[in-house]
Amino acid sequence: MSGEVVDNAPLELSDLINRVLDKGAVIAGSVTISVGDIDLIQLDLTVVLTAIETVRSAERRRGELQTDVNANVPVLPGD
Amino acid sequence: MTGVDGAVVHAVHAAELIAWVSDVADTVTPTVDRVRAHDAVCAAALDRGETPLPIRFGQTFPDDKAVVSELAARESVLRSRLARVAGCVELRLVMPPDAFRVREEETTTDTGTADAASAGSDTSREADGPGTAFLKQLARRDREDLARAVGCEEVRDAVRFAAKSLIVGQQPCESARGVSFFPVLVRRAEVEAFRSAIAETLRSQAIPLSVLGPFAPYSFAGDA
Repeated sequence: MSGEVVDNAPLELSDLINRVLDKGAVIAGSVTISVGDIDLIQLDLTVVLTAIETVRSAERRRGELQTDVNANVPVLPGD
Repeated sequence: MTGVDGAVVHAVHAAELIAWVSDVADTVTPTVDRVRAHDAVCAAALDRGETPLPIRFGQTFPDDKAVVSELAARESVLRSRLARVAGCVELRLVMPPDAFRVREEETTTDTGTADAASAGSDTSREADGPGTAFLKQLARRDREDLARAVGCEEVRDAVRFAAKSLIVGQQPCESARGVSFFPVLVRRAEVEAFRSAIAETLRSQAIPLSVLGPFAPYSFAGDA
């Protein structure tokens, strides 16, 4: 080690978050991390939250579009 | 032993695998305390002498029976991953955001787009409009990202050269949440030998690099 780092605390915290949230074996198919409360990495949280909100908005739009499409589909006899 | 939110950790047996689990609320949003608790359980498992396969934070199951079912379904995969990390620990070589700082003149002399925007005026460099300033900011950010990526790979190569025989596995450089890092997998008994082997190399690189760990092998658990 170089020995030039005096205070490792911020580095260690960032590394802890990177390690535990981003790595490790996934057993249950996929993992969705709902981010919040980690106030020491606010910038990244903002980005992540923005991304999540964008995805949700897109899903909402898709849902609305699908509803509109379905509304225009004629109902066939027997359906 | 306790895990997330102080819940007691208990063992769930499935075939020849054992999972350490604890009861949680339906969803577990990550907080620093919860992430620390999760990591502490992995560290405790590592301290028992047998290298565990760390599970990513945030996975929940309806009950212990569901855990057994999932483990049984993935037993062969999990066993091969356990075999891959057996007897080893993860060390993480971590560099702070300013480890590979770009010199100011490099970001202002050849940023083609920004210069094109300011061409034709000797004084425009001193009075950039908001568009030019934005382009320069983008160019600077790109250069900083590139400097970090290249710098980290150079350190990784140097470490690999200095301690080749001690490295069981190595992952590529990554940059996240303000730090650049790369994980290495080394045998438990050779952690200090690894640190010694790379010490002189790192000193000569003059980079504020920290070797964190040993940890349970999160980065070698297979789903990274």
